Amino acid sequence: MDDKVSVVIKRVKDTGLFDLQAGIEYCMDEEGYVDILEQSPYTFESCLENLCKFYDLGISPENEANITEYRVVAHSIKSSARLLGYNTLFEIGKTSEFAARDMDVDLIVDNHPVLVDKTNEAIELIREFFVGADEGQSKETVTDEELKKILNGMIEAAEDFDLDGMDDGVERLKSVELPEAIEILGGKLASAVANIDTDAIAEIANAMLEAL
Amino acid sequence: MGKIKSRVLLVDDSPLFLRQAKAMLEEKYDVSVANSAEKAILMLEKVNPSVILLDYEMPYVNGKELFATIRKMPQYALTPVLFLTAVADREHIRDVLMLRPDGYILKPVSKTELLKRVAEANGEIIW
Repeated sequence: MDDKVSVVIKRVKDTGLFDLQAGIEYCMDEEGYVDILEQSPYTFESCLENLCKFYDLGISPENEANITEYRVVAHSIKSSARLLGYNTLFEIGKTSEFAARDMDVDLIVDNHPVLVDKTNEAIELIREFFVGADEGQSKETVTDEELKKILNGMIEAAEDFDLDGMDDGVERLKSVELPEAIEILGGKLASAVANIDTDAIAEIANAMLEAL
Repeated sequence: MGKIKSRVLLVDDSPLFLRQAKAMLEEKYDVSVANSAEKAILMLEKVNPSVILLDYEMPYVNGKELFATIRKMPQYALTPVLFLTAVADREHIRDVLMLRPDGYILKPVSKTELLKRVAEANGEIIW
């Protein structure tokens, strides 16, 4: 088995916070689970942004449409947590989702900070699992031309909504040394790919091309 | 020459679920994905899926509204559509079924169950 997969699985298991067996079953195998787990902080970050956006727009009985959107985001956090077997976050997301379904404004407001805190905790915790997990895998040095080819391929994949093309592109970028000028953008591009935000992928990849 | 695979269109706003379900289905099907109703409509103009899997709970344009749009497209008036939902309560399932889809799948779903349900919808399993 891939070293990275076994390292991450051990770290997840050691926390005792995840129903690993369920998560692995949902994701087919340990490798699939680790892939999904690695993408999940980006998903949770995007959910948090939307959750707070709808919350700040106002949670009140007059704002039914807004509460409906809040419910969908809480549902998304809940479902993502369940997929990973992270039951604590699943239960907190479920409380907010059901409160929104029942238009229980008091409960939505009470549970909102808990959901935000726990989602932030999840992001931090999951990122920790991957710190140094792929140590020993040296990064390849490539020419600017090769980088441009990867980035152009990703723009094309985003235009075609070709998920494999986007994922392969970002995996390839992770395996190479990025020039300092585009390193931060590389992180943003990984986030956009994880969230399948095709507009952002094209925008960031174009900015990287310009910086090269 | 290899057998031509049927195509499945998977529509869900969760990138994690899209990746998970795509990986499960790819063994038997060509899979296109969309993470919003808008992207799904664009995809339907480009690909010709035999089965559509549609998340019921999506932001902005939800699965219910997208389903109505799909049924108005003459080429997809009869294409099997299975709703994906994570809410298992009786009232919710009744609401889903009132729309008369070709079925529903509860999330999260195992690979065996997902492949079985898609095969049924695609007419590969005859009862």
